[in-house]
Amino acid sequence: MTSYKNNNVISLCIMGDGGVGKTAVTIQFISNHFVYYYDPTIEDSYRKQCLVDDQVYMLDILDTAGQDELTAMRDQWIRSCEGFILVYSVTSRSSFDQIQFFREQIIRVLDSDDVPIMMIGNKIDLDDERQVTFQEGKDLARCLGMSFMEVSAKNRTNVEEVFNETVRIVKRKEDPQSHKPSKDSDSKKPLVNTSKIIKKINTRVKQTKTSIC
Amino acid sequence: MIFLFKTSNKYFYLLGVGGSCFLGFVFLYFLKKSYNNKNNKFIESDNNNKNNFEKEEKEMSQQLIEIRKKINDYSKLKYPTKQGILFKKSRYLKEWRNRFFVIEEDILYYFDIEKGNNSNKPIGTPLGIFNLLNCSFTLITNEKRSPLVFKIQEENGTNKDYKNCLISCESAEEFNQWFQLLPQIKQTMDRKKDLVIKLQALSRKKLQQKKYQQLKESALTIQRFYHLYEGERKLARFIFNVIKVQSYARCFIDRMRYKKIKEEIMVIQSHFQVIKAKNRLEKEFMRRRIAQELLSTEKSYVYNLKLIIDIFIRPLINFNSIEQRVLSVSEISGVFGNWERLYKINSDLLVLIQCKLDNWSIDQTIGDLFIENTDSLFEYTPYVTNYDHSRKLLAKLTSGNTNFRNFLDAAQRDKRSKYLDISSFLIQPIQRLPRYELLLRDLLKSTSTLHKDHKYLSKGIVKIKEITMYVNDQQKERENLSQVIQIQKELIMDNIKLSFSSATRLIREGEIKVSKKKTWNYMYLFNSQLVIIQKKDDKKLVKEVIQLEQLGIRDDNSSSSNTITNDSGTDLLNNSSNNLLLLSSTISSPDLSSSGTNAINTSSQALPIGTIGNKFKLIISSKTEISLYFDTPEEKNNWFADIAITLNRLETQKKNFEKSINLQTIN
Repeated sequence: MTSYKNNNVISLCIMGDGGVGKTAVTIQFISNHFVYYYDPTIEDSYRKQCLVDDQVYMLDILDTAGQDELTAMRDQWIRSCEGFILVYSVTSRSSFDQIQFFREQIIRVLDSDDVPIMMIGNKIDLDDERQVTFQEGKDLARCLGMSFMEVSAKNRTNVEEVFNETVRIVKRKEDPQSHKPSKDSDSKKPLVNTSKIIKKINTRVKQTKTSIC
Repeated sequence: MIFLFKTSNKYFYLLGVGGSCFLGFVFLYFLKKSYNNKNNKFIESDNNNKNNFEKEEKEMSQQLIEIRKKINDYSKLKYPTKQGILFKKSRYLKEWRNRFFVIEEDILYYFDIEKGNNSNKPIGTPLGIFNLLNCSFTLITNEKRSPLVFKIQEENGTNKDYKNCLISCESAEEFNQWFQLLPQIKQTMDRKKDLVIKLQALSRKKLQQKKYQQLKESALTIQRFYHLYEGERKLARFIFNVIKVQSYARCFIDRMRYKKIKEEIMVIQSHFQVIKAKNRLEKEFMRRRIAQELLSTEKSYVYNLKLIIDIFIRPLINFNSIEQRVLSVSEISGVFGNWERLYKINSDLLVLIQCKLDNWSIDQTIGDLFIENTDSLFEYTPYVTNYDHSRKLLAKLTSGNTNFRNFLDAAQRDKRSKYLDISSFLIQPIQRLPRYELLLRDLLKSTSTLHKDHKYLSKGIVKIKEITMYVNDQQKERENLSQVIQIQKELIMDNIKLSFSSATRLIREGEIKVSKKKTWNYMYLFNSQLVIIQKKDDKKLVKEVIQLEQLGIRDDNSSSSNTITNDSGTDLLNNSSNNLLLLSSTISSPDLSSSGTNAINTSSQALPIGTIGNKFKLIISSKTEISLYFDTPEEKNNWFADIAITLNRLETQKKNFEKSINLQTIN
């Protein structure tokens, strides 16, 4: 939800399977420390300023921890946010398989295929227990039209980059022409191509869906 | 006398011996006369002469045989006492002949004399032997030759067995010389015996001395040996002592080592106990920390609830004049819902949690609080169901109402709000409910199973979960209802009547074709009806409405024909059983209603009913059929599955309704 006045406020929603480290990633970004055990200063809504491409943005981050089974309440969160970060753990194959269902839920609720989504794989510091390779994550993200990055909330690896990239994606979705100051004829063709690509992706998604089922 | 001069030494020696013998014989002779009768002896001797000779010959022969073996010649006699020539009367011819007589020790020998040159030498073996100690001498006066004739008679213990011979001498002196030797001989013999005894004693002494000396030598040898190996003996003793000392030392060392090991074991045990106690303390520490987090998050949550009341709700309500009023009462309740009620609920809960933590101890329980006092959390339902409407209304008001926008700007600048937007505050109640489950779950993890709070926390988690799922379900119901209402508004009905009830649910919608050549139409699948519409100029015209209670579907392209109808009971039972098998085999859920809901929720699942073709038929009645065409086979399969599931669910509801009617009639 954008503010009526300030266009630099961006609402982000962090989603994922239970226990993948959503809260840890968020707190690492907000407070610059890893939550080894419970911290009394935890809050459910977090707000932080960040500098992305010479512009200051105020990030309003929602953490969906504990919302694993509450699909209806989660829909409200989805409607109130502009950007989404889907988190899975590289040490858990099942959390990786859930990414598609989260994306489908987002698309169904917002009734749009063009949603700014960032997909991240957490816990890369536990490389000995890795069950999902980087290439698998990258392929799925490309197939579903999402950006991909691997992070470690413990070591603060790529945590800043994740949120910066998410802001870029959201801004790119909102104002595509501002980033491409070209002719109208040139701008129309990419739009048509992107729609075709999205349709192909949807067919692929359905195929993968049936294959998974 | 010549004879005496020739062998002076020998004769002298013999005289001595003979003298002593003669004296002895005379003495014995006189003793016998005094004690025995003279006549008897003479008579006996005369009568037994012949017998005596025979016996004598036997004895002589025996003795001579024995002696002749030893002495074959006169030269063998080495130490004669006396020797000479005497006249002896022969035994058988009765002639007096010269014989050479020799006395050696206690034996009398007589030899034959060489004839010829008067050499007077003995020749050959002795002709006779007499043991003088056993002989007796008698003087015979009857002989014609001379008065000096005496008889030598050897006695063998008996009167019968004896031998004798008659010997005569030339003169009495010679006679005395010969027979005085007898006592001398006896004396010498006795002396000899004594000497023998002495020698034996000496030899015995020597033997004893020899033995003693041997013993002494052996003793000395032993002593020498003992002395020789004294060093080794001392060494052995030393070694023994060393071994003894070593054994003592080893025993001591083992005892010390055992003591050390025991100390190490005790250290390790104490270490384990410390670790165990540390784990227990850490668990208790984590438990207290999580409880504190529950308190602090509840405190901040209640603070935020009160903040919204103070900054937004109360100022909006308390505007005095109508002109200054920013929002109406309905608008305020539309945006904030039952916010004040939530504040009261959670402030009461905060008081209880605070009371628990003020009296915190190891045995304190907190799960019972959530079991008994969380029924009021059900009142979150109207707020959650109103949230979507609230969000939309807020967007509308901020875009349209200038006074409200200014009011929000002023409120956002307040430092108490921590620069959070109102939307961030409005979403907090929705975030708070599932947070309780997370906190209680972590608290349960830090509580040991022996703790009495473990049971309470388990029940508390179940209860919180029930509340959140109830709220979630209510939200879902609300969404469905709004969706149906929205569809109802969009539809345009000319001739056909379409009615919706509050229980109507939208299951699926999408594009279809009624025939291959015609244009695309649109179809809605509700839980009780199937609606086909036609789109013209952004308008939706209801073309046909089909009630699912009398509907059947058939897929001609599949290998096995599946027909589901409700008209005839038999067909319905058979086909429904087949379809139930298909459903149960694919969805693998025994409960049909739950499987239906699962299928509706996860509409991506597809039944394996013919992957060829993109159409199936709707059987409205025995005469009327409609073929439906779809874009892709997958879409066709999805539609078929949803319709089949919906039909089966209607059938189960119908059966349950009939059962309930039967129960009512019975009651």
